[in-house]
Amino acid sequence: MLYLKLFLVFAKIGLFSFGGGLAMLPLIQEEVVENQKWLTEHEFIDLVAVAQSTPGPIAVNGATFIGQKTGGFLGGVVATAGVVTPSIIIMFIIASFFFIFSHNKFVKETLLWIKPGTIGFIASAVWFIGYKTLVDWKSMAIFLVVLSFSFYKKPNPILVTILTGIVGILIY
Amino acid sequence: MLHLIEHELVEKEKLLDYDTFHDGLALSQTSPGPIAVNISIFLGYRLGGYSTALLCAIATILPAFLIISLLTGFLLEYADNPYLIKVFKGVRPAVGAMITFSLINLLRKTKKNYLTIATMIISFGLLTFLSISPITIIITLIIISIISRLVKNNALS
Repeated sequence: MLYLKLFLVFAKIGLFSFGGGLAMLPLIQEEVVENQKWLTEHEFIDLVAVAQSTPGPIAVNGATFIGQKTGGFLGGVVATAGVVTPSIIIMFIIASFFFIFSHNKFVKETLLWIKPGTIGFIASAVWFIGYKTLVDWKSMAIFLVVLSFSFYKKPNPILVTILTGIVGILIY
Repeated sequence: MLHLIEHELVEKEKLLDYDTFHDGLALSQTSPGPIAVNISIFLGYRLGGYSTALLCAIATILPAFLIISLLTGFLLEYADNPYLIKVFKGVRPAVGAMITFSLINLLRKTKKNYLTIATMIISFGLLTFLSISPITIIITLIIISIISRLVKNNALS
């Protein structure tokens, strides 16, 4: 049953993703591209582009996109509900027993270990996307220009997407 | 997005104080799931219990959901359009560049010692070259953190 599967896969992604949007990418990739084959590798990178240049949490954007692509509008609803269900349950527990979790040494220690781990995850996403997209001198030029400009001024993802999209039409 | 929440709830509407917001932020970052959704549930609960929390979560998700839903319809409709294919060819390396920039920033801001650097490199290597599941890596890190805490507790007592 597709809807149940969408719900469960995204609930799994929601439950095991720490460190926010970008750190979630390897987990979404493993589940959606490798295990379920709902997206190809290029579609996954395009999804990252769409999710980055639209407002809202990347996980929610990703769930809506993948759910709708595989199961129509209802699929999008179910996948989005799936990805936030663990958050709702866990945050209800944490908010109700706030005094236990706040300043808890175990919680702090866990964060201490998971944080560098999730940076490794983001590095892995960078590696994968770089490996798959930097295929000719044109793509390398776009990569280098956007990256160098970012150090000069923090980029607005929407603007970067629009501009490089136009560049894509002109040079390819 | 988190700055926006702080600005709206703490500074503008004065619904919450600074400490509650930052306690909520710390716990939201520790918990799995999208951080913006986590913190909206936490702050919603503080403001009015479970139903408010649920409402806040839905309100955080809804704009993103609607925008992506419309956009997905458009992208699927024109997936084979030669211009759209060119657009994505141009955008993909830019996405790589923006994520690389975020990674560099994150690396700059993180406290670096042998332990954190080793954890970064090992989880990167396991994930990228040995295709170990991110779930396995996360669970292992949680187990290591519990053991590490227990060892520290014993050392103190």
